[in-house]
Amino acid sequence: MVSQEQKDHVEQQVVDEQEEDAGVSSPDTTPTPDSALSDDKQESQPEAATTGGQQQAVRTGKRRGRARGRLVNAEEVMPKPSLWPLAVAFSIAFVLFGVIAGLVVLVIGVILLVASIVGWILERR
Amino acid sequence: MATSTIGERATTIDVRRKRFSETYIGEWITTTDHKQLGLMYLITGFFFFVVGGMEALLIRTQLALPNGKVLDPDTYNQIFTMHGTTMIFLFVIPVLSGFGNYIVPLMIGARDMAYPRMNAFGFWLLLFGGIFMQSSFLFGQAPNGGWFMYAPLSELAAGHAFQATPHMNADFWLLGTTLLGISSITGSLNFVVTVFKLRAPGMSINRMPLFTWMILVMSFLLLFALPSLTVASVLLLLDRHMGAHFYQYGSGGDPLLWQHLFWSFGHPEVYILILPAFGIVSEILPVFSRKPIFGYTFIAWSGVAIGFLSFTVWAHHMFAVGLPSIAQAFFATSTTLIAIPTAVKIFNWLATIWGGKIRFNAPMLFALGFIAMFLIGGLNGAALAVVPFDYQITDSYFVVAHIHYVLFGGTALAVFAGIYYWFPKFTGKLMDDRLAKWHFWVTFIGLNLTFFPMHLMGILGMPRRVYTYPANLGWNDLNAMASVGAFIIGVGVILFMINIIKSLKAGQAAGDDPWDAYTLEWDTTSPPKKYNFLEIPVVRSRRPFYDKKYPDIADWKNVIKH
Repeated sequence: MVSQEQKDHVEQQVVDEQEEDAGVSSPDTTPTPDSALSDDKQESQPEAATTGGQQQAVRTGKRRGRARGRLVNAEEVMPKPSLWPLAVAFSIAFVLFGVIAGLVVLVIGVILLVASIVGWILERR
Repeated sequence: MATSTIGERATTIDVRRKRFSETYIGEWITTTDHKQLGLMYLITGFFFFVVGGMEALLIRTQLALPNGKVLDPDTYNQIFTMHGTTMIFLFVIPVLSGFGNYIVPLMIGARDMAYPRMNAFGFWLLLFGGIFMQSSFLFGQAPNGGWFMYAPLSELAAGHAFQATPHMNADFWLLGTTLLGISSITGSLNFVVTVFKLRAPGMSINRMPLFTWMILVMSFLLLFALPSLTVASVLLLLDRHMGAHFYQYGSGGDPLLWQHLFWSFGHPEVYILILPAFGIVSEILPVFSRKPIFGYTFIAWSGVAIGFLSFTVWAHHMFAVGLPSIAQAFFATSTTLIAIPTAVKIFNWLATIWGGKIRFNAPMLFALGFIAMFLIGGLNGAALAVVPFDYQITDSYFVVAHIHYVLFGGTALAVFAGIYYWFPKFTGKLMDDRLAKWHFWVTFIGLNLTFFPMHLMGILGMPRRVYTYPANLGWNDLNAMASVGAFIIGVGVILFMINIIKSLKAGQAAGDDPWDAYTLEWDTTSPPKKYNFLEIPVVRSRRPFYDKKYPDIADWKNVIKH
């Protein structure tokens, strides 16, 4: 469970734009086991060794900056749960059942459908 | 493309009431997480597989002996209609969508589907659509016009004072498939946008895993094919309830219009049901042969070719209605043509296995079984493209044999292969391989015992959909064999369910990468964290996880440059 305080702490910029634009890679970055940086390092070393040159180093640095990006809170990037998709789906099924069962069921279904669509639209994300 | 890293911070304890979405049940019914929704699709699909399977057993019990009296004729009609409808719309499509939902975002290095709420909406529509369809049994009015619901049989009345389907049976089918169609369209849109927009940096379309490729093609097929079914259904509803005459010959309509509209959905549908199975097999064979897939480009683009061609073959279902010769020639040719890209795939799979260090674990056994059975289903399908032959066996049990070799011998075996392959990712536990092998062999024997005799029944003239048959037509032994085989398949399904329960309770810990696999879904924990990847991976070849594990011999460094 994540507190509001944590949610408020949403992001921490770890790469400044200047550094990325200049193409200078940060020397103290430690890749995590899941990190693509480890791949990137493996990739950049042979490239640098084989091609050398300032231009190559700048390109690698930029890519590395992009790969690392921002540090964000999981709650921020992941979609929030919602009951409205279920409600709308149920209402549509109810409307179609109303086509078979009769006008009363159909009208109730339409009311439910409108209400659930409005609920979905107004849901705070 | 800027990517983000998930920060793992210490959590604090909240002193407040749990929200509904934080309770166990609430979490499942409000979820928008692609993995949970994927599992829900899979579980729902297997529930309906069991329902459809029991319907199949009722059919085979009725037909086991001549002059059978297990079911009355009307109930029999309902059962065989709902068997086909359930298996196609409520088992195969949901299960394949379940795999797609769970696996595709992981495979392409994404954190979720592009539209998570729409994803949830699609699932709930499927569930309610399934309940809607099956609830027709409670009213004693389950659909009874066959899974293709031909007009004018499905009209309220066909011609003067002749009642066809006067009750709600056809309405349940028409409205239910419309509901399921909306579900499939939302799911397809989501897959297309996800694959095009959320791939990890470096994952060009030419580096996408083949399963993702096939899900993409399937999604396009659904988007273009389903409107045809929806239109057909709406027109029939208008005929039935609003006094229209679209399919009534006596009033200027044309019953063949239904067949054209239905099959212009229905034949792409067959490829919708088989292409993701191709994708599953294309993932499993390389891993268990310890080789890269042979002819990646051919496999990927032959899937696209199949997709295009699948829209040009629909009238081979209608050779016997009296099409003009030129139309017969066209559809016979296009149907034969579609065998080419399909055969390309089979040769590529064989070349992938060839010379590999093969591991015969359960996923590999099911994948190999798929190739063999699908080959039979493909060959007897090509036979059906030959017009004079089709005249002889149309609407006979030969066609039933064909569709079951494709959809059970093909898709269902691939689905089982996929379950055994990805179960460790879903749960963090291995399934019992010994029990899985029993499941494979029992199923393999059962399906051949059930469906192979149906070829002979068809050639001997047994029509499909017959309620019973007299004893003197030479069909008795073949029907008895098919019925025994069906119950053997049932035993296989029970073994599978025991294995699932046993593995969930006390399965061996799988680790994150039990198969030493190649694709990105294995580069996460098992089961994956909610956000999938701590950091979005960067892809440099078609086997990104292999590159990461074996940097010295990574594909991008060595021979394979893409």
